[in-house]
Amino acid sequence: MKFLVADECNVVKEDKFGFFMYGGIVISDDEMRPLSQGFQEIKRELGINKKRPIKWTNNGWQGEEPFGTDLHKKAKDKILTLFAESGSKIIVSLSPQDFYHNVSFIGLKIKSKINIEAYKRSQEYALNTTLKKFNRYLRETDDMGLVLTDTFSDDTRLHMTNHCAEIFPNGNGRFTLEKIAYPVIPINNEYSHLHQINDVVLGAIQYSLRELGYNSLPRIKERFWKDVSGNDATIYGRGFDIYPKNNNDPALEEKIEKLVQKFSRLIAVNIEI
Amino acid sequence: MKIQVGNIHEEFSRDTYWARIRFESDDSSKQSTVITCASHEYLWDKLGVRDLSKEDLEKWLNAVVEKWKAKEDSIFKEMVYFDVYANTEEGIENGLIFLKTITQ
Repeated sequence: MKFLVADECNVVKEDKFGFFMYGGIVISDDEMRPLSQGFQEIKRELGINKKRPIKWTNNGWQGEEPFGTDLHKKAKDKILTLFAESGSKIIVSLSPQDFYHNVSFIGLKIKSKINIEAYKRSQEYALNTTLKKFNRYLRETDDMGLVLTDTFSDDTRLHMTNHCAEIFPNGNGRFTLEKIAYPVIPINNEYSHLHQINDVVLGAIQYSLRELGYNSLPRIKERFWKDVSGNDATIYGRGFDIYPKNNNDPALEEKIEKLVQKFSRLIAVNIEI
Repeated sequence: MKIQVGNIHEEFSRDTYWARIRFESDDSSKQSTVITCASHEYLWDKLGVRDLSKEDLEKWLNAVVEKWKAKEDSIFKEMVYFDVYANTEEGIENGLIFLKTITQ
């Protein structure tokens, strides 16, 4: 049995070069406990309250101040190492955020908040693409899977819960999800070590791809799902993918091409679209 | 004014190119150093080339040298300047973090 621990990872500082990412890490049943214990061990080593979550973004928690910068950096680094040494896989789907989100700008600054209807569409589309990929991965590994998402936000929870009910067990008509056990289970990442590990991994991917962000991708490159040949170029289209495909918008195509090329450079593999 | 332009380095961990430029007054009494970097995205947009050659990078650096040279003596007000070329505000912030790290 394989578990997809999934979440969305939106841009922190909105700008026209941002992108939306959905997906997560695929963990086999025998690795769940060691990863969770490894996570707890990191907290113990660093003297962090065992109940306190560690995520990519350094926030305060239950009245406590955010972590010191060095401590937070050290914790994230250890989590990435823990993950990199596991047998887990990464499956993420990205898209230029103005494909998903109906936002407008004044210069580089965001003018309006995310449009809720567009946000629902974003999550629905992103979940579909991720589930479709996970199902394909499970076919290849001849396994069954279960999806543990982070809880959906208040704005989209009802819509996404209904959507999850509608697409199971037979997909949405364009694809099937025969390898994934119903239902998608939402878990608040505050209470899940595996979701926090996922949060750090997604955060590292996102920050690597941001302009002049720190590149962590070589550390976790081997964890991206690729084909059985082991060829790194096959990560694109499997463990790392960008949507939409075959659109007729030259501006969107240019953004997608740049994102693919950025990813290629960061993992030092020549990927052609 | 004497100008010494350092080599252009590629920093894989930030997907960027950076260099040092040293300015010295004619009588060698005053010095200043500009440390500059440009994101790959910025250079791709600016120069219209995805796979940057040595000449492309030198073109960018020469423009940076000219910009700072035009400040003439006022450049010596500070010992060190950081000059980041990026497409986004976040890129500029990240570039400053990077440049400060390499000078520590």
